[in-house]
Amino acid sequence: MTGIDQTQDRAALDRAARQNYGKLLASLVKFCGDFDLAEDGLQEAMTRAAEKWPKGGKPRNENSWLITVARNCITDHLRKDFRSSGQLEFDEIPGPDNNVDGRDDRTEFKDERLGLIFMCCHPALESSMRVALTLKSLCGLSTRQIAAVFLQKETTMAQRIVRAKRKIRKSGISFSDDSGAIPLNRLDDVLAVIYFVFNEGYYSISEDRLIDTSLCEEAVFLARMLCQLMPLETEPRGLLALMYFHQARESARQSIDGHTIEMHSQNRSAWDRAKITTADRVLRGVLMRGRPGPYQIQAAISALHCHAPSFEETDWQQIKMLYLELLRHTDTPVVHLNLCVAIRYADSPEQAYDYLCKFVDPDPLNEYLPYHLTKGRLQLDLSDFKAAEDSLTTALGHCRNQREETHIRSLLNQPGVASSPSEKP
Amino acid sequence: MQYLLMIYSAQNAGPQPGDEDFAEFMGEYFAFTRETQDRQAFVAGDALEDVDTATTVRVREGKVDITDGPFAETKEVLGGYYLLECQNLDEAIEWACKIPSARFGSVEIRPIMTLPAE
Repeated sequence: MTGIDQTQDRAALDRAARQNYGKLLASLVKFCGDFDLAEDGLQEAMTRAAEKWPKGGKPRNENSWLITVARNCITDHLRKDFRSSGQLEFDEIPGPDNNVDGRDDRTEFKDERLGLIFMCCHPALESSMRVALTLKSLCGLSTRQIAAVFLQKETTMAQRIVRAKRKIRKSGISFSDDSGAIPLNRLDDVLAVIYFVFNEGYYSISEDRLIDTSLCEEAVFLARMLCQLMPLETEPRGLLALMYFHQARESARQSIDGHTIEMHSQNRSAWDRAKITTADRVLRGVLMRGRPGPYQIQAAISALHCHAPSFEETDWQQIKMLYLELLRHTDTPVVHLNLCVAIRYADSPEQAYDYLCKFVDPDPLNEYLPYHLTKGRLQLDLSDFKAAEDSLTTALGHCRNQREETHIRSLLNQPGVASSPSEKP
Repeated sequence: MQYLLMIYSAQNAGPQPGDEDFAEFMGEYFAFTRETQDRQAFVAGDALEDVDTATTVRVREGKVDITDGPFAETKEVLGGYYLLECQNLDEAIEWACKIPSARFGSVEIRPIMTLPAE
């Protein structure tokens, strides 16, 4: 066998392993009910594949081969455990699988990823761990990559993941299968995890973070998976459309020297028209079903931005109405804040500032940069430079990266505000 | 009268599994259980899985709030307990939401530890 063939086989293994990792893992977790055991079994199967395939050639059905070998490893392990501890009922151990070489293509396994993602996003897990487990098991990200997402050391993240998996095992968070046991009331938790992953990718692309994968793409991948596995649900499609609309504007958000460009000064011709068309198609299809929800409403707002010929010609009245509708679904301080911005352009800065003071609860937003930034901008609009300086200086303290900081400093250096010394700490 | 004896200790206090005096320590527990049984005092007793496996449920204004970890409000005191047989954590959470005090207090859910045969 030549070197080139071997490389190709390795590439095939990578593809089989990473693209299907979630499918394989989900099937194995369902099979044995234990995260660690499933991961170890799959790892072992992949190691054996890496040894065997380059020499003996690939099996016809790679996934069947991997699943069969992994299942056998798991069964072996359980039997050993049984012998040494006497804890397990022998009946609980799945029987051996004779399809060792994967010759039997009929052992197609079902896509069980829905059960796995609901397990990973269980509300009894700490929220960052829901994200970590989802990225690890469904997207096949490494612990090193996940540690980078949370700006943590790899060893710390590894320990936290071990603890989270232990909680799943010990506290009885069970694998939900589609025999009616998928807890639909937990769909919101799953969607929240996916949108979190997207926003981490979208808003924190910073030079001080070393992520070699696109979190936005991972989130889109997860949302598409949900759409496919839950065809009757509308909100996964709303979320997918929302993320496509965001992605369409992505390239116009950053200047060549890395600064954030706010929507009103973005070059709209740089927006990705093809992506907007795709997003439109997804959104229109789902709105026709007549079951609006928070993600569909946010996508509709995003659509209005994407179709406006200029910032001034945006249909702000409609956006204001949509935010009011969104409030009926999710009454949160952040939605109030966004509504306030819509009022600024639909009506007037005075009315917006009035709304901000009356209806936007500052306490929960104290650490939230957009709150201080919006407040500062409105105060600039109202020529209250002293108050604006205070708000923007507070905003400066909540910047997460250089881009945000540069942007706020440029506002602070505007005429009027700049009358005071701009060398803030 | 019946009395509930609640056992508190720091997470790593006392002999841990793997320590050489752990078996002896467990032996003391087994002996204590046996004594309570022999003298017909025993009603129920179990070890709990450690605090990392805890889930706390609160219901506020009709909304269910589920958090990872034990209850942390120092002003709240243990007011009662239910020992329930559930299929999984979801079912336990479902029950917890229905406990009337969940509307102003907290319900901490801890799995009962399954011990290997003696």
